[in-house]
Amino acid sequence: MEEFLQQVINGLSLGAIYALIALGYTMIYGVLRFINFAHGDVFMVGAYIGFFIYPLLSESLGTGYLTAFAVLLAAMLGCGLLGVTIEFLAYRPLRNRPKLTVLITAIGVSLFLEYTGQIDFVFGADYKTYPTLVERSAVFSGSGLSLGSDQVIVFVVAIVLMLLLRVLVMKTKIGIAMRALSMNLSAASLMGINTNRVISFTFFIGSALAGAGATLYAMSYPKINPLMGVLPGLKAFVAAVLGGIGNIPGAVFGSFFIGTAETMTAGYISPTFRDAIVFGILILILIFKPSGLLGKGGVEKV
Amino acid sequence: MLQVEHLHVNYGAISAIKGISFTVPERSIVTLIGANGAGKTTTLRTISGLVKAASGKILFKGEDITSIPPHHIVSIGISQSPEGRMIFPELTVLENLKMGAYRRKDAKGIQEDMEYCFNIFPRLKERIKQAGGTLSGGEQQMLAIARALMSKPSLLLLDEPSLGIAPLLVKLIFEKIVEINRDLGTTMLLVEQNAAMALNIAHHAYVLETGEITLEGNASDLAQNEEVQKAYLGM
Amino acid sequence: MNKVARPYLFLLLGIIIAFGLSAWADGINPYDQRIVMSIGINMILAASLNLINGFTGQFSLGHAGFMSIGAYGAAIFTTMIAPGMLGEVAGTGMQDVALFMGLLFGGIISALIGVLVGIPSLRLKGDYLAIVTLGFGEIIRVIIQNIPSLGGSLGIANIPRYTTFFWVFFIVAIVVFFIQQLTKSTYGQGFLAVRDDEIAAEAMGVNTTRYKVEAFVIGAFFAGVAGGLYGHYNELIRPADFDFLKSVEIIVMVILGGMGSTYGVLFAAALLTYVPEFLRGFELFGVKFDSFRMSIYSLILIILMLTRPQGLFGGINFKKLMKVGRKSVVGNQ
Repeated sequence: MEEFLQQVINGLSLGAIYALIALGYTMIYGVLRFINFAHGDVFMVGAYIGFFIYPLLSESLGTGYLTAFAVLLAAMLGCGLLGVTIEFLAYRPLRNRPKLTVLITAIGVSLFLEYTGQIDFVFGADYKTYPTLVERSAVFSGSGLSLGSDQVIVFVVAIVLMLLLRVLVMKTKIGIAMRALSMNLSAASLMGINTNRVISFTFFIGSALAGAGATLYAMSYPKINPLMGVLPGLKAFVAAVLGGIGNIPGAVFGSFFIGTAETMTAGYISPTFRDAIVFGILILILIFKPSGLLGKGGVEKV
Repeated sequence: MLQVEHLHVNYGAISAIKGISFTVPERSIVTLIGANGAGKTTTLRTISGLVKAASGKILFKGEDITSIPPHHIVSIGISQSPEGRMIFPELTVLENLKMGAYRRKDAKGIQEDMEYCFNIFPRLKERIKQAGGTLSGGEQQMLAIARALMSKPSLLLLDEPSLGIAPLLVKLIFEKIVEINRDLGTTMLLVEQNAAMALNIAHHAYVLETGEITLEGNASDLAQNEEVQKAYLGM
Repeated sequence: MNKVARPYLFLLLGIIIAFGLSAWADGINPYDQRIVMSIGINMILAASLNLINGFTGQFSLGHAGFMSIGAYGAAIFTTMIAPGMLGEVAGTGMQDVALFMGLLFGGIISALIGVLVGIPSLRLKGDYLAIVTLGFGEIIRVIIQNIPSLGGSLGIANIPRYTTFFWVFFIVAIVVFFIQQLTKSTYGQGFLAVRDDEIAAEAMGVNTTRYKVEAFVIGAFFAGVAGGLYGHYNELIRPADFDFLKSVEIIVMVILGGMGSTYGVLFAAALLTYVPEFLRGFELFGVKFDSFRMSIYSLILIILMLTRPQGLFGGINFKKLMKVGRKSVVGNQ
């Protein structure tokens, strides 16, 4: 029982990180109806932003929660700007082009970030060790169950960000515009909504959340390299599809599900199958209920 | 107020609008009638900036607005209640109306205009917290018109407000269109397949056939025209 | 020239080229040999993916998965099954028989998996199909990685080197011939109809799902054959050789060549295999080109999609071009 609960805790904390990445996939899909393949690589850049900026920040701010918070903000801001830039340079010129053209461009952007990151004078192909932002300690341990401070931080940060996102999307004018745009783009422009600006904004928010996810991920798994975004990116994508892509609560639900399924598989079956199980879930979902568990309507015809 | 001059619009290799010209005088209701596929919706979409014109000019208050992006078109005072209503289905009635006022900053004015909309369409007030997608067709049409009014337009483009709506409600909606024109002095360009209703409320009318204007005149005169009667009024 | 005879003539030409190349093979150094071999194998992969992506408009991101199935299947056949059937074949004429049977074995297994993958997933379209094929490709890789008798992530080593220039280019010629015959036949017109307008094709009674699955299965078969050739040249196969990046590499060849244009795709396969090798030694501002060539490769892909999404050769009618060429030759006489 304790082991089971422990796996649940581990799964949920992994899921919380996936959720931050999955939200970006789902929001961007919502407004542009396409899968931003480069999202996992934006996440990767987020980890490197933290890696490079930490020494600078800790010099003036010292080590502690304030610095950790500053690193988080820096990663979010940096990733947000990167996302906006990618959209502007690579995706915007392709509006109204066939979806496959955009998809391949997105794969190109993804490869570009991965390969450029591997160049020696950029990030380098080798593993780097992410700085310890917060000393790890056991918040709770006993009777075979433990909860680390890093896990608590993951939960708190992820939940706060998700709540902020909810307020943004449900209550603010630009948030409502974002939803309006995802329902009907031409109707939105007839309202006087500058659709390009809202799309940029969506990329900023989605990518910034990936930056936050990267900071939390690197805190938990401090070995970073330029390909680190591939698997978490794919898994978060699966989570978004599971919850019904374009559906914000669905992405969160799907992420917790995927995170838990992954740790359960690793714990009870074999760690080597933790990636395969995620793809297995993806395929089952796409074959039996492509609109996702919480999605409505059919698969959009392309 | 609005002048369209020799407008051409193409979809790929197909020419949808073949050099039409018409004018909409201030405070008037002008209607474009014609069959399905005549190019009525394309004309409105081009005025709103959703479709690019191949050639020709669109002048609004004397200024050339031919290649201005849609969100600027709303800012200068043209709004549209589009074909098929295009309500945001998952936004509430209130949120839909707020989106209509997206470019406005005057909270007080927005409030007043919303009151006005609820005044002419009391049903919307009853359903204020309901999602747009759950409204009936007629209610959605009311919402589409109200939403377009929320930008405080001087020119309102109405695309097929009668489409797919119960006849009794069509009558009501057309009465409201006249009421809005009278109360607010909003100029209207109405596109309709239901020629009888349109000619009944419009001041001036144009007949559009496969991308070309074939007839024009005073609305009541056109209603008496034999060809129009045969082709569009089913007489 | 007779219209019916022309493809056969091309096939003959292909076979002659295959012979010519194999006669030349001994004279060149192993490095160049490897490049030519890779060009041939990539041509098979690109042409077979082109049948799926270019002719039926379905988007598959898991082609490397089928390549790996064929590679493992063929390797198992020649190392485990063939010795029992044919005895010791290495160095004798029988090694070609073993290779042929191995390629067929790998190709058929790959095609069977293609049926399994194709039937459920080809109901999906566009992005979703891309993702599901990507998922399958990855699953195939992960499964192979977890089968100890297949060597896990270390793969299978010591596969006999049976692949020759002749085999590779002979199969290139066969693939091209096969795809041309297929797309030209009334039957094959169904493929193109599916690509151009699926709904209309369906309305006209074309069983679109059947065409899509068949194209997918044939594509999977040839990808498997290419995998077998690869394994029997490289002597070592590992699951990591057949990852998502390999699938992307093949797709880029298809796109660059202009989806649906067989010759364009073959040329792109050669170009994209050769140019990166050619540039390997270059230096720019004192930095070896090798270290950032892949970065430039992806940048070119992006720029290509932004400026020429139909590919370098898409929209060019090679037949017409050849006709014009012939006419001008006649004119000069």
